[in-house]
Amino acid sequence: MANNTRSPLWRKQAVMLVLASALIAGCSGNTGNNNNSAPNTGTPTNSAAPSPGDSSASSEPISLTYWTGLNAFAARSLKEYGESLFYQELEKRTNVKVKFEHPAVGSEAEQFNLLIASGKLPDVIEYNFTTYPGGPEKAISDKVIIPLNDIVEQHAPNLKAYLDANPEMKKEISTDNGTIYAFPALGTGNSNVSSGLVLRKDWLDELGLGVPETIEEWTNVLTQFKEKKGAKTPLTMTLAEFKSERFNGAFGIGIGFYLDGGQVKYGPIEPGYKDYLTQLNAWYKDGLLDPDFATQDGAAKDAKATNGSAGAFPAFIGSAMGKYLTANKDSNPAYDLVAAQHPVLNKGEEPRFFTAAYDYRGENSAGITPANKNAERTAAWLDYLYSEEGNLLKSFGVEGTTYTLEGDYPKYTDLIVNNPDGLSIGDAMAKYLRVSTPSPGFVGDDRYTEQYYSFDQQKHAVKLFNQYYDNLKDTRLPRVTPTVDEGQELSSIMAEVNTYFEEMFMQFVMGAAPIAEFDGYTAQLKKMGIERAIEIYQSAYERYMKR
Amino acid sequence: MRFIAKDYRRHKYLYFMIAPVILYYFIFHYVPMYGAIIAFKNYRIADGFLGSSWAGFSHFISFFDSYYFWRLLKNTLLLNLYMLLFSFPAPILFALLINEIAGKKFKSMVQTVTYLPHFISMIVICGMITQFVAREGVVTDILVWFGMDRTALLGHPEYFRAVYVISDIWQSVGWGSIIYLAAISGINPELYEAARIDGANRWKQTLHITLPGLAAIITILFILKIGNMLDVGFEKIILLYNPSTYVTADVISTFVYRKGLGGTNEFSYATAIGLFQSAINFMLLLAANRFSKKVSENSLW
Amino acid sequence: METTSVKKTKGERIFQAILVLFMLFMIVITLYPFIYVLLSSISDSRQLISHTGLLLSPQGLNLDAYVKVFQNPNIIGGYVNTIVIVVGGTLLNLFMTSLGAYVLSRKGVPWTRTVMLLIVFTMFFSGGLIPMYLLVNNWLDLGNSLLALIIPGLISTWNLIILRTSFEAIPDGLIESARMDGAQDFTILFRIVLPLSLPVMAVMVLFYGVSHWNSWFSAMIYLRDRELFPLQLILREILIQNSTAYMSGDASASDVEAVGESIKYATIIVATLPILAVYPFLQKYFVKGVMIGSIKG
Repeated sequence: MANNTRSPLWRKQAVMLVLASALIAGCSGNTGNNNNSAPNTGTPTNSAAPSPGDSSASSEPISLTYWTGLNAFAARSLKEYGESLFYQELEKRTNVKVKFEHPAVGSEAEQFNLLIASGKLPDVIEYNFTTYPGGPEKAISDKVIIPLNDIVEQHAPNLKAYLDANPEMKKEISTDNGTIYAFPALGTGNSNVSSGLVLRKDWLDELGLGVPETIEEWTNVLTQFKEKKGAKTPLTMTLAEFKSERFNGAFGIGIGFYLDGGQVKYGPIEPGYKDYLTQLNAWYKDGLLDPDFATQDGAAKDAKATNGSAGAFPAFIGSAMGKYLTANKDSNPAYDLVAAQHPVLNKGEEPRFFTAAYDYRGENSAGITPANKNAERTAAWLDYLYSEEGNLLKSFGVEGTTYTLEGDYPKYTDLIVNNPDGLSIGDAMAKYLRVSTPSPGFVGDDRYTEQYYSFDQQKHAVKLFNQYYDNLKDTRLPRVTPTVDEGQELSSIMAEVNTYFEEMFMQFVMGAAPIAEFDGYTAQLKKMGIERAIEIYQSAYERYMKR
Repeated sequence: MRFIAKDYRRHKYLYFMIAPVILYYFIFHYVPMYGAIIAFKNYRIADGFLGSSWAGFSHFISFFDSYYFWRLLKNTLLLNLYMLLFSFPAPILFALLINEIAGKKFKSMVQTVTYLPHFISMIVICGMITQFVAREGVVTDILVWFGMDRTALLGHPEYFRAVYVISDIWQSVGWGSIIYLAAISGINPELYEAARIDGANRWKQTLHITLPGLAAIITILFILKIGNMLDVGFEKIILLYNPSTYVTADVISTFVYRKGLGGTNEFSYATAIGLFQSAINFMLLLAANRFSKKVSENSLW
Repeated sequence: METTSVKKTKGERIFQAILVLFMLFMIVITLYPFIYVLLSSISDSRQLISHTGLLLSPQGLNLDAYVKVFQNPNIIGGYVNTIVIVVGGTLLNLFMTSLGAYVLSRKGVPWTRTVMLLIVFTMFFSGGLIPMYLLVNNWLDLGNSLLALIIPGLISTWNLIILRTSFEAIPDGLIESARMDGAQDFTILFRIVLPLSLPVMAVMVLFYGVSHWNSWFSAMIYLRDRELFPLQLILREILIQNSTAYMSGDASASDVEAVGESIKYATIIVATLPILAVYPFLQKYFVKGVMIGSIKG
């Protein structure tokens, strides 16, 4: 009776896909169990190439249609990117007028599909082409975007210089055949790991405990939190957080697919996983792990993290840590947090598994479509964003308005950090710049990150979480591209595997299934075809290595 | 042809009136129906409906062969059965009760308030449900008082259906009763007058006048509900379930939804499953309609 | 029943007392979600997040969330668009649905059964999103216009069936005698059937109106111009902003604001209150006797 208008099937399916894509978008940060071996090359290239911005300013003005999702924060104060300071200034400098087409926030994936179905392509599409079924190569053969190798060679000197200097990155942004298909959003700076475990520092200090490093120390800290601080749920997590690399790394296994000496492996069937489950089960039995981790949502976890029920929890440096620290500012000034290094088994070991963004972000990379009549000018225009000057404009804006130079360090003005209209720093950045979410050009500039995080605890957390980032080179599966058929086969296998794995995971942790059944469980996963899935990833990985 | 020509002369205006309706259904429902073909194809958007390669029945087979097929089918049917038994009659009973309220102001207040939850978005409603039945939630408190062990209800498969159905009643009983209240106000008051003169009490009046007055609409809605047995919206379920309750909570739509999370476009698979559900649903509806026609005079056609 | 003031028996009085208690209980439990949203919207997010259990008073009064909502440049335009869609859409819905329901409720017309079957068939089988999009956007060229939100949903089959069922309950004698007097079908529908069906028409106004008010999906699919966005789509965007803040991997989306949580609830209030005000106005049509008056008159 609730639905007075029975929605037809297509509508349900569509809604389903909307939600699906929302979750995919949401998870991409978590499931980034793959990786690359690209080095973290500090700031953008200081290329000597002539700035195309200058050269094109002299040429005829052109106009482009540009399809991209509007950043959720920008949507609060802008109707379209054309209104932002960054794009207005960019137009002045380059003589390229841009007409933006924005799908509704959160509907980017559906709208992208419809765009292709309708066949009416704009000049530029900003999208995560790595999620295109069959990969970007397929997007090119489908005539959605054009290959860019020659164009980058001749008309994008800044990007070319950067790629030449960073061959690993070049591998990452190319297809298996070596085709460049987009102007990528490239992570610079050392902040790809943006979440980790956090503890109540005031409690640790009070109990005279150090920040735990090993699993054993964790057990001790959690026990003391429970016994001496009366924490009802010493360690609280939501179920979704068990899909990120948290405690599993200590047992030498990744949370999903990962690399071990060039071999693709799947964590949940490895022997190390048994130890991991045994540990979680022990914590669960002893009341150290929140018994409601499966049923609680983010809001319930937030409450426990801030009201003294929990003393340890995973957190994003930005959203969660910042939120928790502010929440208690007035009511409980003693409340303090400290980030803990990803735990290991034995003292002195280095953590090797992190949930981190890829250096090549994937999302919001700009492809040029076959409909574009000015492909070369467009390329030069996009290339400007990879120049020192362009990066400064994109990340910091216009000197004197949104930043001032202190030495050669750009410092945000009050318009950004202390906005007179009452905009928060995130909103202000979204209104004037294009810095906080991926976009063509460089993202995650350290100079931005430092000013963005307001608490010292956050600044410490960024450094600590990213300290051993390089170890990911050996353990994270890079962003490989399964073929269309492989993709379909994978989704068939994984739909069953995930369902079974998730159910068993809960049973092992909560003790409903004895750990002795672990072998039966791995056998069942194999029956469901997990080995075939590993094989698919392995061959995709080998194609990747040959790029 | 002669028959239509003759009928046209008799019902000329009816033809004029139905024409825009038929045109609407033709253009917006029948024309796009060619899209269902992708259930038998490996649909890729760029290849289009004609260009995509044929898959035959492989999507159907892969679903029927799935390790979880029977569980999904069972859960879907059972959840619908419970809804049919509890959620369906609830608004009818509620409308009858509202009808019995003596105070006019109070009556309209009850109506106005009880339909409010319909307007609160599903995410917020489910957030509240989760809170209520959490370890320290209000509902849990009450159940503990009655002797249950303290626990988060949504962590246990045996409570899932109850939580789902009861919260559904809570959410929709007020809104659902509107249609019945409207039907009750359409009943001729002289019938009640006559019954009172015959000495019938309120209960008898309800039984012999109000309920028969509602019979048509109840039957029709019941038939439609039967034609929905293989279909449970996934939105509320994914907001309430978790792997420890999959055993009872995982239904067809949620499984298809999770499969789509793999990142590949599962248009063909989802369409195939949808087609399967629709076919069964439609057959159930046909059967229910035929049955109803036999035992009562109410039917869809 | 309101008209009679016959003395109540003892049993009836006890029944009334229990009924009132039960209804009070229903009021409390169904009002709570709304109260919860309202209280959350005027709370200080920083305090709201550490709160657990029932929310019975605002957690630190803070109205900034409402200021934020109205700062959104799309909200006012969203109201206007939504009102246009609700009013225009509902009127067209009512017209089309009445036409269909009237014809299909006529007895003795040989083809209504087939038509009905074909219509019900569309409740089950459809072509999916993309053919619909191509039809509306490419072939009919309605993309990026408010018409795309109205025309494809001119008739809800569910509502059509309800209305038809209700029309069928109208005594044949009335219609036949009108026909004898020389009235043709249009006149019968508008002069006799509709006036006799005010309660169910009020329900139709409510069902169609509310579904237009709440709908965002078509707008999300067909509209490209943000100036045309209805309120619910903007509401949805704001809700998404809040949830992505949790998930986003980049340093970025991490706003530490007093309104982080409450803005979500403020948006719901802003987007819901106007439509809630409609029902009390429609309620007056749910009174007994509308029918009898017309029959006698």
